[in-house]
This record gives sequence, C-alpha cells and structure tokens, in this order.
Amino acid sequence: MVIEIAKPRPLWQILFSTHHTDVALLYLITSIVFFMLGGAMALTIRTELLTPETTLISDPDLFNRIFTVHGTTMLFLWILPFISGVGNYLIPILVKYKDMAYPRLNAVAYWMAVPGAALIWLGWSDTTWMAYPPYSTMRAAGPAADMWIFGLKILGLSSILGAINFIVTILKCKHPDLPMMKTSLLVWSILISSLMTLAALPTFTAALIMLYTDRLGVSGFFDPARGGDPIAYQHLFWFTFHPEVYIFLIPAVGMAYELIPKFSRKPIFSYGSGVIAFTVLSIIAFASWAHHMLATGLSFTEKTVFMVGTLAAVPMSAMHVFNWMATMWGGRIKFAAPMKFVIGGIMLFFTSGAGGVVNTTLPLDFITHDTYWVVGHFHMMLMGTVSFIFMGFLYYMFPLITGRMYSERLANAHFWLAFIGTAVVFTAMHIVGLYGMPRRVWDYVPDPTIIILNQIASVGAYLIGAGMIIFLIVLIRDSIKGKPADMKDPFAIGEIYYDYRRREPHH
Amino acid sequence: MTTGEESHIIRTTGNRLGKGIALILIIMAVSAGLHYGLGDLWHKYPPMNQVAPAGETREQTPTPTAPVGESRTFTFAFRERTPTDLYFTVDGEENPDIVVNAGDRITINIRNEGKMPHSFGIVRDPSDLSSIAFPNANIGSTTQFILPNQDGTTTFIADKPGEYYYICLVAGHPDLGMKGKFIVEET
Repeated sequence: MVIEIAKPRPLWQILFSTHHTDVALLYLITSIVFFMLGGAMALTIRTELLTPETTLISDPDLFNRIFTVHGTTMLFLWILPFISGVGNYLIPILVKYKDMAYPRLNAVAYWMAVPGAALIWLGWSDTTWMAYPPYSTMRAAGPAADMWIFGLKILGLSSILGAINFIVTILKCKHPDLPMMKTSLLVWSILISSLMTLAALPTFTAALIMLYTDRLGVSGFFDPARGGDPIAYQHLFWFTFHPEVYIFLIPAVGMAYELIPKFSRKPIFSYGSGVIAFTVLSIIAFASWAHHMLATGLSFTEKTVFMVGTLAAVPMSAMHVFNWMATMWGGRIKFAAPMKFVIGGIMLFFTSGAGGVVNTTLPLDFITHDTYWVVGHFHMMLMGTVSFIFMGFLYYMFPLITGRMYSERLANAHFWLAFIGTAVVFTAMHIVGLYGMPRRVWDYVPDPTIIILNQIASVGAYLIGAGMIIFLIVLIRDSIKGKPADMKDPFAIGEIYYDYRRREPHH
Repeated sequence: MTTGEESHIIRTTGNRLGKGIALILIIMAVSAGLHYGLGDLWHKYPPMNQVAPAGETREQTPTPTAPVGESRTFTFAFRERTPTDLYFTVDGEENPDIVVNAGDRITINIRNEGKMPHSFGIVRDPSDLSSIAFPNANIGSTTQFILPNQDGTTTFIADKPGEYYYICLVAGHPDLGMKGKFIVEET
C-alpha cells in the first residue's frame, strides 16, 4: 500500500519512486487523463457527425487526425496503462510479495510510456490507428506519421517490459505457501495477458520497422512496385492486434471475477473453468487474426478457417459469462457502483459478442465490412465491456488508493448516464452501418434516416460525456473530501478487503 | 512508521492533489503550445520514398496516355453452340481480330446470350487469366460473372500498343473457344 509516513510525501517522491503502488498510481492517473482526452476527441467526432458536411471541423484532414489520435489514445494510453496500473497495485499484494520482481524495470516501463505518448500527441498523425499501407507509406505526412510509428514502438517496448515483470513476479515471487490454483483469477488474467503480450507484440514491432523503412524508401516490403505486398502488413498487424483484443479483455474479465463473488457474497461458481477459459482463449486468440481481412481476397479455405477460429472463442467467452451468472445466482447482491459497472459491462458484452459472430460469418461480413457497424461493434466491446469493468474496478480500488470513500450517489449517476449513453450511441452506430454508412468519414449522405441515426448516436455520446464529467468530479472531490473509509470492509459486504497495512519501505 | 492498524491512513490531501493536477495541466498546456505553436510543421513533409534524392530523378509511375484517338464501340455477345463449343460474336462476326490505334477510347457492350455465366477481360496471354492487360476493360472477373441474359459495359483507353487477347475470364472458357485477338497499333 501507499504507506504514508507521519505526513504526506511530496509529489516528487511519488513521481520518482520505484515502489509498485507509486508506479501503479502514475499508470492509473496517466490512463485516466488520456481516457478523458480521448473521450473529448470522441465528442468532437460525434459533434462533427451531428449533421452532414461541416458541423464543427472545417478541415477533413483534421478530422482524420482526431480519430487517429482518439483510437491510438484509447487503446494504448487508456486501456493498456490502466491494466498495468491495476496489475502493479494488486499483483504483489495478491501473490504476497513485497514489490514487483524488478522495481526499477517497472519504473522504466512507465517512464517509457511518457515519451511514447508525447510523440503521438505532439504529431497528430492521420494514418488511422491501423496505419495500413499504401496510405501510411506513400502519402501520410511526416514527421507526424514517423512520430506515431516511434511512439507506438516505445509503447510496445514498455508493454513488453511490463509483461516480463508481471510474469516473473507471478511465477517466481509468489509466496511459496500460495499454490497457483489458489491465487485470485485476477492474477491468472494478468499472467495470461502478459504471456500473450510477449507472443503477439513482436510481430507488430517488426511491422512498424518495416513501415518506417518503407517510408524512408530503403525497402519495399509493402510496395507492389518493389515486389512487396500491402496485404502483408495487414497480416502482421492483425497477428498482433487480434490477440491484443484479448489482452485488453482478459484483465477486465479477471477484474470482473474479483468483484462478482465479493458483491454477490458467494464464492466463485467454478474457479477451474475460469482458468481453463483464460488459457484456451489465449491460444484461440492467435487463430483468428485474418477475420479482419475477409474482404481482402483470401481464398475460401483461408476464410473458412479464420471464421471457424473466431467462432471457437465464443464458447470460452460464454464460459466466463455463465460462470459470472452462476456466481450471482442466489447471492445477496450488493449493487454498489463497482457491481453495477460490472453487470452493465456483462450486458453490453452480450451485444458486442453477438455482433462479433455476425462480423465473422462470411456472407454477413461483406455487408458489415468497413461500415459503422464495425465501429459500433468494437466500441461496444472496448467501451461497453472493458472500460465499464475498468471504471467499476477503479471505484472498488478507490478506498484502497485514497483511504476515502467515493460518493455512491454521484457514482450511481455516472453509471446510468454512461450505461444508457453507451447502449444508445453504439446501437445507433450498428444500425447506421447496416444502412451503408462507411466508417472514418467526415461527411455523409444527407439521407433522413442516416442523419437521424447519427444524431441519436451523438446524443448518446453526450450522455456518456456528462457521465464522465461526474466521474472526474467524484475522483477529484472525493479524493480530497471523501469520508474516511472503513479499510477492513469499505463496501460493507462482509469481505476482507486488500491488505492495506504493508510495511515495506519505499525505495 | 504507521502500521495503519491503530490510526487511519488518509492517503490523499487536497494540497498534493492540487499540485498533481496543476502539473498535469502544465504538461498539457506546454504540449498544446508546442503542437499549435509550430504550426504545420507536423504535417509538412511527404514520406522520404516520395522525395527524389538530389541530382537524381525518380522513376515515375507511367501515367495513362490521354485519349488522343477516336472513340470506338464494339458490341460483343457470349454464345454457346454446345457446352464445350463457346465463342464470341463482335458486331455479328465470330471471334474476329480487333485492331485499334493506341490512345483510342474503346467502349465495349456485352450481352450473355448463352446459358452459362461468363465474364470479359483483355489479357496478354490467353492461358493466364491473371495477365490482365487493361484493368478497366474487365466486365466481371474470375469470380464475378455476367449471368445469362445480363448485359455489361465498360470504357477504357487502349494506351499500351501490343498484341492482346479478349477472352472469357471463366477458367477453361478461353480453351473452349472464347478468345480472339485484340491488337493495339502504335500511332
């Protein structure tokens, strides 16, 4: 825990500390700041799409930059640092070790994320977060696009260092009396997602170097005129980023496993099936990357293999959901903010999962490909499920981090605004996609149906925005003025809270 | 050192949080200043592979020749005598040699008068369906067909002189007779 000696430590001591809770705090604060910035960009995008043609942004290039930075920020500067933050805070506590295995490496990993973020945010590249060639190699203006490539490279390296640290801490520093099968499922989820990071990320790292040398003109990996193939980039990219979806999702699932039994006041229905589902999902994740590329002219056999590979993830995801429902069933559920966010997340997980099945089914994919349907689908997953569970978990950790309690009333308002907003905006996006609206557009056909659906989506986004303002108010106000929490059981659910009396000195 | 058991630990104070928020806002302000202050610097340069090194001219992708010649229209039909004896008619003639001048704007109207699906393309080598000579001349493709009694049309510029073949792009059909010469003469 953050041990406070007689009086609060000055800021610089926390900034340059290598203690796991301090590094975790930096990760968490960084991720929340970028979540808010990325959200502000999302609201800008939705405002622009309120009407066809210019609404707010007169320059379409600027629009492209905004959604590129929005996507990059939300994935690499909100979700990933948040996972690192929670992992750093809790893994040493959950495996009963004094700190992370390599505290200095831990701090290095955090401080690598800072220049990475700076490169992305200073340049504002317009390549989209996928940076597909030929645009990214032949047209995207520098230095912004080059800065984006380097920024992601540094963030990737930071993720790899973080992953190594988690794996070693969990496997080597775990208390000898604590068998792996008795650890929290959150520990399992961080372990599995770290292993996946190590397996998946190098491919994208290589692809980024190839992209950069192609931009320099010294190679032609993705240039058909020099014997290359732009589709090769998509394979390399999605070989990393389909598993990455699970790297985002699995820790969220682990957090849900941490919260649901506590707030249902029942033990987990089936611990073993959770472990099995994590493990199998992590392997299946590598067998589905080309479902993002079904429209690129793969052979029928390839398409079928990847369709089946993708559908194979459904039973594993369903195992988690059934496990949660069976845990909740018959429990005395306390609907505090963390539990509300988790249940909301599970409900939205159904919709995004069902949309995913549609996307991967060959004939339907050709209808939904590159439309707003896809945008609705992955936002439903990343905002509706992953971010919801993250926000719930942040409320759960709030007493641990601050020693104070947040305002349940405001958290409730935050939840309902965010939940209704999320359901509205992303459902409207699914439908407008089926009406044929392509994604990544600044202007659209002034058809009455498409206009009204876009306006419904924008209103939903404003609801989320209002919820997020409340979230920010709760975080700041209650960190200063919140009532001191009962640290043994802050949520009055009769569960032991995390050990808050750790005595290891800061270093 | 406090053990926490006896005294309650409050880990956040308004003072420190205020300083933290101020620090974040300063970083954001400096970054925004750098970003906007340097204007279009961030999007100024094309990728290096688009810039010719000093003293060297980079080979440009050939631009299509402007339509300098005349506009010509051909009316094609896919026909079948038996399922293994297929042919084209062009303005009534069977598989004729078509001769045009480089730069001509060619319009092809085609109708499938047979019972099988077909598709149209101009290739360099009739035994290699992927050796497309004029991508814009395709009507249908090796996987998308013109069905019986359907029509198709296309317009392209015959900008590359040479001897080509007009064929049906369905595998096997050229060998069953659906091919003819398409000659583009230099002007």
